[in-house]
Amino acid sequence: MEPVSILGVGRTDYDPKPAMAIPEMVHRAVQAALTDAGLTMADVDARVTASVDLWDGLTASNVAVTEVVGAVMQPEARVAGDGLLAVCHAAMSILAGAYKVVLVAAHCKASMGDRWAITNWTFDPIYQQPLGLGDLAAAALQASVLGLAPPLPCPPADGAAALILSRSFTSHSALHTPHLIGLGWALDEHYLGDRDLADSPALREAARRAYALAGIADPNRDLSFTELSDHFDYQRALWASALGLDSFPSINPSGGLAKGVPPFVAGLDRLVEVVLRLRESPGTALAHGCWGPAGQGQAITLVRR
Amino acid sequence: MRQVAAIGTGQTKHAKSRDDVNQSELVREAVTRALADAEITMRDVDAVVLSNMELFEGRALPEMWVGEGAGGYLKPAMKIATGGTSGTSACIAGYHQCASGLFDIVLVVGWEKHSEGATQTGMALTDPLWDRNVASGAVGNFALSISQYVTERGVTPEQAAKVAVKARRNAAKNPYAHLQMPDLTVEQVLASRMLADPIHLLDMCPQSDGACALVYAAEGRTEKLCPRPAWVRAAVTRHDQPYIGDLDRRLVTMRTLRDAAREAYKRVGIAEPLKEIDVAEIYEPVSYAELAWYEALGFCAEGEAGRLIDEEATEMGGELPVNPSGGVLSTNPVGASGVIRVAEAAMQVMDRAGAHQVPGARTALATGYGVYAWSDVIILSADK
Repeated sequence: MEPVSILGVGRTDYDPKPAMAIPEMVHRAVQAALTDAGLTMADVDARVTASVDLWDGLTASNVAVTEVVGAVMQPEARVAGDGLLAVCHAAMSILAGAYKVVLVAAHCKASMGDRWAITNWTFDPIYQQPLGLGDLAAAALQASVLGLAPPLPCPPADGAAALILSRSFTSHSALHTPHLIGLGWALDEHYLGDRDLADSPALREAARRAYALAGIADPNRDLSFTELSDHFDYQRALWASALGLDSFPSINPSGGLAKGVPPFVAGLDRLVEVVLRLRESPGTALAHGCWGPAGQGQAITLVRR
Repeated sequence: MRQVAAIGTGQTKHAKSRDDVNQSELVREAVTRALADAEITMRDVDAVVLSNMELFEGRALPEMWVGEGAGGYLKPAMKIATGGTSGTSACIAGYHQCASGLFDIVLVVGWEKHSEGATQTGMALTDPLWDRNVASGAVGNFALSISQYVTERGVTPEQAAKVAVKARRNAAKNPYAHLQMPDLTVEQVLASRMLADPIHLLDMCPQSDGACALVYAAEGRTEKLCPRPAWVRAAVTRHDQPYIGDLDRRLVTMRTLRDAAREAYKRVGIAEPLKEIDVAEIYEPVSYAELAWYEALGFCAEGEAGRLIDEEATEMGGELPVNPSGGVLSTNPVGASGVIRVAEAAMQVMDRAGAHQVPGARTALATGYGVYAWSDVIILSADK
């Protein structure tokens, strides 16, 4: 694929923010990304936001951020899922020629919601939801399949992340600005009993597509480092294996999600981390996001500088 | 920009309650018909875009379960949700994904199963501090805005009732429509129960169970697959303030729809929409809104919408038939309603609308409406 420039990134701290409303969080992340890119809102052609209604307690939860992402009388689409998926869609709308500069923003106030109840309502209402499953139960099952003890969840946190994508104009900029060079995402089976929880065919498929777009033949050789969404400690090795990374040395140099990163912000946050690190030291890196029970939804982006 | 066309559509039978199927099976029904219409199989589909308003069924990430019914297993699949515009925004997203060059065939699937949730509860979950107490769901907030609109523009309850009658009579010729009322009269609409002045029960859209799917193909593939595709010529989105009190005379100005339509007309080169567009499928959640949209879409001058319906210009056989399918007033599974608008517009251009076909239609307009005043405008054409 034609590379897409990443002009700016921004994010809030991630911790419980009882005194801060959703639009205030997103405003801070968006303004940080604009400042980082040296742009103003007037330079942005369109926005793709990411949020999940049940976590926000809002129908069409992007109503909370319309003003702070600059969407009044402007185009906006909202992906109900991880922010990394919003990046994939934003990049495609740029590749399509629909827009030149697109703002991506994701938010979640995980401290505000009832984690068990909300994740229980992700399961189908006939076979799995009545069992009382939540995301912790699914993770414990996945860990047990791998022969591991039930995992501890990351602490609940609130926050937002934002990123600005642009059509790539010159080959010169390609040398200095991180560029998206590959995208891939896919859904796994829904019924836990139908899945091989010790593997992730959805992530294998997402990786196959992204590596092909980026021209990466051997990720162990071609990648400098990866930032994976390890919502639980055991997931790092599982995702690395599905990505074809065998004893790969540089997984989550940032320390990953253990410090507590809100769901649906996590994947976008991994990409922000990749961009910041590539600015320090050039290379090719992978950012990963996942959502749903035991990582049913999987997305990756590949970035080169 | 790579050209993209709609090459197939499929809908379920829409009804008050489809308790014969679950959500995943409902979606499967629409997808199977769309794939058959496009003469492809699920293996040909490169990516899936889903549309659904999860709080109407109270589910979190419903695509986790329902995505399989849409054929999303091990495929790139994502859900777009923007309120009432979810379906049209998903159609625009699918169009962009197909035009990006990453995918050749993209399936868009919208659904809602209102019978399994509490729609009014979902509607009322707006901003908890400033908006929730005044918003009171669609009927209440439309009553406010309609009162303002009829005061400024002089539209009468009879003229609004004519819109409601047109929709349900048209729906009688659409085998998939929910409310089919071939003999409905203006008097019956005006005699129906008052919900919130001036909105009578029959002025309002229903809540439906239903799903709709649309298949896009990129140029190169399109020509091989479809003898008469519906090419996407323009797709424009405009959002607005999320607080009703911040909107300046909402239905009177409807500035998002006005601006999106102007932009879309400019791209296609349409100067006189009433003459140059052959058929329109617009998202009219309430009879009065259709009249307000006529003005915002430039079908007539401001204050002339009542005359347009009186002169039957938007009836089947009129200068610009509006909602031959029966529209949202006849069928409203919210997450699917926008996809239905685009699919019905595509069916008209493809000459596949059956008993509600507008003869010789070549250029079709589809719109989406959501939140308080968000708009999508899509123009499809038989010409590339």
